[in-house]
Amino acid sequence: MIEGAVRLNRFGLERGRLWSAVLLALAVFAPAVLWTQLDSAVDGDEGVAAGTVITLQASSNPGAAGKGSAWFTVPGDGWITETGSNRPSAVTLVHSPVVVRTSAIGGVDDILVLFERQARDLRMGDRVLFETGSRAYTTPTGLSGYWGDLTGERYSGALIVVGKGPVAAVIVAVAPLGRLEDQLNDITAILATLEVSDVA
Amino acid sequence: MSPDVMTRVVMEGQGTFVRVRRPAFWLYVGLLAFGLLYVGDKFSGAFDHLAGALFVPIGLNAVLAAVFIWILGRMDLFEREPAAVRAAALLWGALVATSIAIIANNAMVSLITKAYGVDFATKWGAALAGPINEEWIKTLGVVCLVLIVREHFQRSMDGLIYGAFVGLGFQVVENLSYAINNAVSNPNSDLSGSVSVTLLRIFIAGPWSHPVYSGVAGLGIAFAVTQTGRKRWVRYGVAALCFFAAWALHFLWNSPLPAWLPKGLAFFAVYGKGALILIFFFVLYRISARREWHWFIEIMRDEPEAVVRPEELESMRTLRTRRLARKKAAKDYGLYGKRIVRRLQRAQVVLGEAKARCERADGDLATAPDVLVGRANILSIREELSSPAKRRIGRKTRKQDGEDVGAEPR
Repeated sequence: MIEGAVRLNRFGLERGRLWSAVLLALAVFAPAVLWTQLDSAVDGDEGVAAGTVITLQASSNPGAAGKGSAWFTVPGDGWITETGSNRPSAVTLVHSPVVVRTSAIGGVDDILVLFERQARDLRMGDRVLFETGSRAYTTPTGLSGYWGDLTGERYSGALIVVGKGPVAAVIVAVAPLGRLEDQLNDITAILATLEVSDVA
Repeated sequence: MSPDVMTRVVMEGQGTFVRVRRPAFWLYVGLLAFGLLYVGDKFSGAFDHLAGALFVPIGLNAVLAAVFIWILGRMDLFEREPAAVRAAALLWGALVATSIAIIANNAMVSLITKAYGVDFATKWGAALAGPINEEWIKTLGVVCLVLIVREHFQRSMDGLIYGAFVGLGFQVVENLSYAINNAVSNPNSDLSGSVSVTLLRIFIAGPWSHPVYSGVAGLGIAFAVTQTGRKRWVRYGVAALCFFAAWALHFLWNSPLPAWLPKGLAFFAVYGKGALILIFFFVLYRISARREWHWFIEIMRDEPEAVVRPEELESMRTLRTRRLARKKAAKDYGLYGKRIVRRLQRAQVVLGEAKARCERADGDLATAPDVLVGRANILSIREELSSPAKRRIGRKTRKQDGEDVGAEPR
């Protein structure tokens, strides 16, 4: 127990100590404000030429070791990539209004389990999407897996999980409700060139 | 209206940490609420879906936290910091620092990726964003504690302990966030993803992680605010150096291993980095602990031998010397003697704390109740040690009782 006389200001707080608290508050939020402002000031969108081959390294997770790679060719003009959200194992491509995120994953035991887990992650995400119907699917390049339809409050999309052996590619395509059907050609064009390998 | 007219003076009694008249206290409360909402929002959805996979990581991190709390309690040789303030430091690290660091780190890594590409961001993103943002926000936690409860910062060691608690809170929540992320991103199983990454983080990064970095930075802050006899540039210079050291240790740990390093050596390189970090930390700790001991000698200087003997002062220097004194007591007086000496050592520390409190409050050491009680406790423990009725049979007592106990053991 501390007892003592405290000199107060008009707010009922100890005199002479307000500014240090204000400075501390500014200092605490400074990194978050600085980096978010700089990040939003830098335009990360970059055009991707038609025919560009994008190669992804299949990520190896703790508890699911296994490396590999996946690659596909950008189909046609007008695609841009959001460089800020790209990773060695994932790339986000935009062909307005459709946004396609493609990831490569290693150490896969069962493609159906991976499909169901990806569907669950979309339900947990910031932009909630429900997988409303799935079917077996094989790409023109011979990768087998599942195709699921996605439906959300304002968006719809498709979840495609295909692979070969322990390496899989996951494609999540999202567009505003009712707009995906027009863009299905974009997705099937990507799938037509999608391949995976267990060689990193 | 002049400020003087607005001034009110109140007499208040307050608890160990709650200071309702300090603006920094309300800032702390506000930031804690922000952190709770932010971290809660991030975690609650995951808990709904992954609860089964998170029990094991939660349990493992609880064990990690308990071990660190025990170690930090042992490191605090001469003054156990108040539990409420230690808890406040832990919560800053767990909620305030993590929530703001998540926002800042995500934005910074995104910026680095945009500016320098995916490869560079993958290699160096964590090494840059982690130390820059996290060390800053965690260190401000110690600054916030100084603004709220300056009276609990007496020596540099206090900052080291509070800083380490901030770091511990951060580490536990960071570990849990990794467990959630890996449960989600594992292609096969939530449990496998969450447990494997938790074990990895506890056994590979655990011993030399956030508590160490923040302890170093906290030590600098406490040095700056407690060493008032030194020149200002020295105090702030040491604080800046300690902050830079914390940053550098974190950077060293997060930085990637060189590409030319053979894979077989990676394991040794990782543990080598960890060992370097720990060695640096323990050198600082030893310097700080030595200063604590000198402080203890100083504050107990005028006590009579019945309260503290010169050889006891010497034995209070480190945990090791204290243990040796207890072992000697065990040899001389048996297990009971060992326990009594342990109590005596604790009582002497308590008396030192009481005297320091009294001096800070400009009190009279001859009449301060807690000082008098501290002395009385020590005297009664010493009396117990020499009481024939209670002592157990050890070598010395048996000898005193006239028994032939043979030659001294080597």
